[in-house]
Amino acid sequence: MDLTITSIFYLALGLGVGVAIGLKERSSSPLNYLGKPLAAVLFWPLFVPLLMESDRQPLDAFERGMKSPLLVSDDALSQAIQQVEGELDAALDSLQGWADSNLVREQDRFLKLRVAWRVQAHRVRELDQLLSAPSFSAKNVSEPSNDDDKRSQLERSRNENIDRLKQVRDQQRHDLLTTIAWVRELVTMIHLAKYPGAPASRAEELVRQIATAIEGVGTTTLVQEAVS
Amino acid sequence: MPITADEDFVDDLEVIEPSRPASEFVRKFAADRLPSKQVQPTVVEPLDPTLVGITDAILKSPASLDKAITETGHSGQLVPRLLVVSLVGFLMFGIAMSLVFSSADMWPKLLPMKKALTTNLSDVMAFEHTPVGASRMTPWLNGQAFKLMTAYAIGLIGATCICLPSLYFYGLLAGVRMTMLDVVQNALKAKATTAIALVGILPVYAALALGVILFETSDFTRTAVFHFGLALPFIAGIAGCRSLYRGFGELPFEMPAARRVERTCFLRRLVLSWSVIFTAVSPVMIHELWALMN
Repeated sequence: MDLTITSIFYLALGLGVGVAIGLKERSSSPLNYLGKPLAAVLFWPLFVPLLMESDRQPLDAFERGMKSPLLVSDDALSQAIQQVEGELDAALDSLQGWADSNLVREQDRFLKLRVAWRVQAHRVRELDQLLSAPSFSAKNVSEPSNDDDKRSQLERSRNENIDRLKQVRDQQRHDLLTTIAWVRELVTMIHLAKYPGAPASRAEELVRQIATAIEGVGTTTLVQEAVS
Repeated sequence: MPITADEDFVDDLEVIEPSRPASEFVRKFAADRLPSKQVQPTVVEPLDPTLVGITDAILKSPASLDKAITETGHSGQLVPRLLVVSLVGFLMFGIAMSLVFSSADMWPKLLPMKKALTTNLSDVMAFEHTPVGASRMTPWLNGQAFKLMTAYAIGLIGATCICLPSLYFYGLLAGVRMTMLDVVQNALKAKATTAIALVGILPVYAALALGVILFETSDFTRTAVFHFGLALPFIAGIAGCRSLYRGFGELPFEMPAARRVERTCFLRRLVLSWSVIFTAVSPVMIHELWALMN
């Protein structure tokens, strides 16, 4: 295979990468829209990782999701979330210069965790609203009668469903508050590790644990839906 | 006997060991032993992601560029801009070398490596006087200057592209947690640093070359100075190599902090090995491109 054939293959691949970059940049400025694909045709090995790194970009969407009116409220849950966020920010700020390389890496997970808390609180709020509706709050208790056995069975089943819905709501609230309490404990452990002079690896371990709290909230899919 | 440390010790180690985990270790080590003088962590300014801002950061605050690379969300801007900084630097080098050659009425003649290996290796590159009657503008008009600039700009970046997978592999061997994008950004940052260092040493070289031309030295001296000029990107590459090592040191390690310092030493050797590979690949790439265009 001589140089001409190699160049043709190289440029063909470059054209593919250039088109992909162009499609990715179609909403950006004209300079980016034209310049980046052109550079990508010539130096495509440098631009291929940019194409593969699509999951890093939705952070802007998460930041927007944080400000969504849907997720902003002023009830006890929101106040608890705000409190733990304040404590978490203070603890993470105190890590600057001590264990910040790991901290930088986990920023996106922290952001997702914050959105997950808000989404979970929003779900609890929705369930509260639903359960406080007159049709859900008052249980229909009918007298058992032989004539209308099927009707009473259906109403019993309905009441059981309402009870289950209440249990779901209680479980979700409990999960959220447990995660918040756990993160608050980890935050104090960060301070406790820093001041007696523990190694930076200890702080990194704690930071990783906090970042994994998003799995405890278990609303990753919901977070994606909320921000999209 | 207790181990003692003073501020000079910390400063010396900062120079020898520029990576973040190791320097943090040294700072912590010194802070534990200097209770009277607190060793403050350095404050890193946020990066201005414009071309001027990136150039400024390479010169004044490389830590801010390293930080921007490790942070998410900047890669889309950094990759093309670091590429532009590198290309501009190498093009300026090409222009300067073309000026030197055209002023000396000499121009390199290249033989493809494949042919030179079968005949005489000294024929790979030889300097020839420009034909009688040709003006100093001739190399600029017949495209020879353009070929030199293109060969260097594309050759140096192209060699980086070829060596990227090995750099990624070396980083993983050293236990650095990174993506291919991290490797690309760090390699381009090293390239941009090289380009800026190259632009910085060009005036010094231009003065030397001008002296050689003005004082009508022997062809041997001229040829030696011209060869030295063509090797300047590799001398400036030392700055790029250091920048690459520093950038890798900023990335998180996949291992306990206690083992990081010894692993950092391993990383330093791997980056050095990669630089040797790059230094072997890029001249061949530049030469072949240049010979092909001629």
